[in-house]
This record gives sequence, C-alpha cells and structure tokens, in this order.
Amino acid sequence: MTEQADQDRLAQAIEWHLRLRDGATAADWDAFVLWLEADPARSEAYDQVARADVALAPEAFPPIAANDDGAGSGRARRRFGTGVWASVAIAASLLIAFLGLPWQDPASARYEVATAAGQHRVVPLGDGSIAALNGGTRLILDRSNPRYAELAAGEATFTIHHDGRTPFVVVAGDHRIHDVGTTFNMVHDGARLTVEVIEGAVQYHRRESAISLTAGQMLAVREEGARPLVGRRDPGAMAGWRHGQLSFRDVPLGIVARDLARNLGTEVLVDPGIASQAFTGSVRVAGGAARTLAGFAATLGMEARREGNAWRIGPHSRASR
Amino acid sequence: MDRIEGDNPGGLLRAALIEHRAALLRYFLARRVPPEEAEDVMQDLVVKLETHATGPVAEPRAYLYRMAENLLLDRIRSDGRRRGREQAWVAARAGPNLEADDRPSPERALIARERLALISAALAELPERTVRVFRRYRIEGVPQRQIAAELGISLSAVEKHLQKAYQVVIEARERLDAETVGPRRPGQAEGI
Repeated sequence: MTEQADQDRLAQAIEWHLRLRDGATAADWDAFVLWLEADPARSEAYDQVARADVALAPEAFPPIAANDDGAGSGRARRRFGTGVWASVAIAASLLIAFLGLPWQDPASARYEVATAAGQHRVVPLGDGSIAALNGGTRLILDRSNPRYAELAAGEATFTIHHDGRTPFVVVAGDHRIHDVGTTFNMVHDGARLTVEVIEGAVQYHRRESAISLTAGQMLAVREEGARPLVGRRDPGAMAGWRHGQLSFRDVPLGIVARDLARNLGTEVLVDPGIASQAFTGSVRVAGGAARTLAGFAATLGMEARREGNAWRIGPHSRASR
Repeated sequence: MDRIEGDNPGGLLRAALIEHRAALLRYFLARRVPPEEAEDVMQDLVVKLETHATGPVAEPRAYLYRMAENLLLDRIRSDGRRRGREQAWVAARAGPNLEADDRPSPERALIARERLALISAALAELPERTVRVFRRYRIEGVPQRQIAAELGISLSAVEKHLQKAYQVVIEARERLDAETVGPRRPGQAEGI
C-alpha cells in the first residue's frame, strides 16, 4: 500500500513539474504550494522529478532510427504480437534499414545483429516476436525464415509471438530451443548454455535428447559435453539483466565473472584457484564496472584490481584490513 | 500589480519581491527548506534577482516563484556535491551556478557518460512514440500542445507519454543512486 502511495505521489509530482515548466500562472504556483503543504513527503518527490529533469542531456536519449518517420515504421518496430506484417520482404527491408547492419552475406538470407559491450538493444524478429539483447551479443537472423534465430554469443530475452503451426527455433551451437509462443532468457557463452523460461513452455533439443521446460524452470549446460541440468527458478529473478540486477545461487565464480563481464562491458578475471568456488547472492550492475566489482569483491572478502583493460577479482594484495 | 513593463523591470521586480516576501517564505517552507535557513535562501533570491538581467515580465509573482524554485534546485545540487554523491553529470553539463573548483575530472566525466548511457538504455525500452514525445518536449523544447497537434493525439495522451518517460528516468536514477561501494549482504537468489 505504501508503494502505491509513493507511486501516486510521484505521478502527481511529475504532473506538477510538467504544469509548472512552461508559462505557469501565479494561480498555478499557489495551487502547487497547497499541494505541497498537504503532505510533507511531496516536496521530496518533487525534488526527485526536478533533479531528474535537470540531469537530462541529449546523450541520455536513445539514438533515433535512420528512417524514423514516427507513424508507421515506429509502430511496426515496437509491435508485440498485435498483428503480422504484410510480407517477410517488407519486414526484412525495414529491419535492415532500422538496424544499419554491419554484416550481411549476399549469398545467403542470413544477417547478423550485434551489440557492443554493455549495450542493450531490442530487435524485432519479423512476426511480432522480439529479442532483447544484452551487451556483447551476436544474433543471426534469416530473411527467408522469420521463425528462426541463432544466438551465436551472449544473452537475449526472447518474447515469441504465438503461432502453434510454426514453432520458433533458436539455435545455439548444437542446442536448439523450440517455442510456439512464450518468453524465455538464453545465454550462450562458449560451450555454456542457459535457458530460463519466464512464461509459457519451450522444448530443448540436442542430438537425440529432448527436454520440456515450463515457466519457472531453467536448464543449464555448464561445459562442452556436460549433461543439461534442470532446476527451478523464480521467473521474477530471470532476465535480471534487463533491470540491472543479477542473482545467483551456487554458481561458480568463473561463471559469475563471465556474467558480470557481459553486463558491465569489461573483462572480469578470477584466478583458476577460486573459479569453481560457489557464489550465492545478488549483484546490481547498474552502477558501472568499478563500483559494481568493488562491492562484489568485498562481499567475497576480496578486492577488484585493474589489470590492463580488465578487472581481476582476487584476495587482498596486502594483509591489511 | 498585474503587468510589469517599461524602463525598469528590475526595480519593479524588486518591489514585487518585497510585496510577495511572505508568500515566498511560505513557498520555501512548503519546499522543506529548514525554517532557520529560510531567510538565507530569501537573501540568495534577492542576490539572484539583482544579478539576473531581465526584460519585461508579464507575471511578476509567477516569475518570482520560478526564480525561487530554480534557486532551491541549485541548493539541492550543491548539497548533493557536498555530501559527495555522484553528481558528475550535472557538473559535466556545466552552468552558471557551479562552484569554481567543480570541474569534472576525467573519471567523473566517464561516470557521467556511463550514467547517461544507462538512462538512455532505460528509455530505449519504452515505445518509440513515448521517447519521441519526450525528446521533442525536453530536448527540442516544443510545448505539449504543439506536440499533440503534430501527432494528432490529445493533450492528455502527450501528458501520459511524458509521465511514463519521467518515471523511467527517475527509476533509472534511483537504481544508480542506490549503488554503494563496500560490503554488501548476499540477497535472496534462486537458480542452478
């Protein structure tokens, strides 16, 4: 209930900020004072809005798409299963125009979408489905097949438009995920694969094996040739990267380091001696690499040190406390 | 006094400040300025008006409130810097109220860029139209009414877009500000 009150208060504060920003009358200001006086918490809520507004520079805004004309192309780009595009050809050409793809193979229908380290991107997949890419991710799509994607490397959350006749297939190495319409998060990092089902159900295939996964389940292949491990996970804790919070339970530090690296956009190293140490906990990744790693290392009783362009997490260099 | 124009808008503003002094003090208190500091803030407002050249002002009282609010904002930002919070992005933008020793170091500029990038990423999750409306309003300075006319939507629709955008920015800043360097207790987690 308090949270709702906070939300309402903030919404009102935003409303006041908008009202007072351009050409407010003395009467507006008088009304503002009355609003402030009715609840002491309102002034701080208003501070939040005013400070946020002051901090906004053009660099705080996502770049505008190349042929952004507002109406049709914008709508098409953000559609979440509310309709199907007229033809794959139109969809593909719009995709290419929007994404300014650096790599296209003219001999085949495949093309790649990639994110830089620490960059997030939402990619429409051509039938109302979308993939939200984490940093350092490479997704390969096929113009001739809108129900196909290859997660070559990195992490993505897929929200798949429902189509019972044509399952969506995501390929990662020799792993395949079949999905008729659902939301799941996937990591493909070298030989490591992780699939977490947030909503709906997916089928995992590799060679002859097939495993069904429903919402709240996750599958992990830790290394080359390892058997997939299936476990439960709160869907609310899945795809935490999308809101800057990663959570781990009994995950080897070496893997935690890889996940941190992907989210922070910087290489993170741990000594082989501690790489298999299990970690359980939550890490916020929104504060930048230095702060995140300093805090993370401290929870382990260790420290984070710069090593060239990378960070290394290890024991304190001196025995000082 | 409904309108102020003519040869001495500054002098007339000063007169307005005297006339509305009580209302402005009440405003400071409503904005949670500690009562013992309210007089100092009032003095800062006097100085601000003295040093701030202005042309004719249509609504002096509204103008004074706006000046007062801007002053409070500067104070909050200064307090933030004094407490050592990460305000580098404000410093990076620069402005007439910065203290002389507040030039951004390369690291603070880097942090500022990181923070803006994270806000940009948060905004990128919003529908395209919402971001367009927000950019048009906040960066390009187009009034809400005009944005509504351009896009053929209602004024309240524009307001809803702006509400959503501001909420996202505030939430992103909250997440950034909640970061603390140092030991953190492991939180709840599930997973393999």
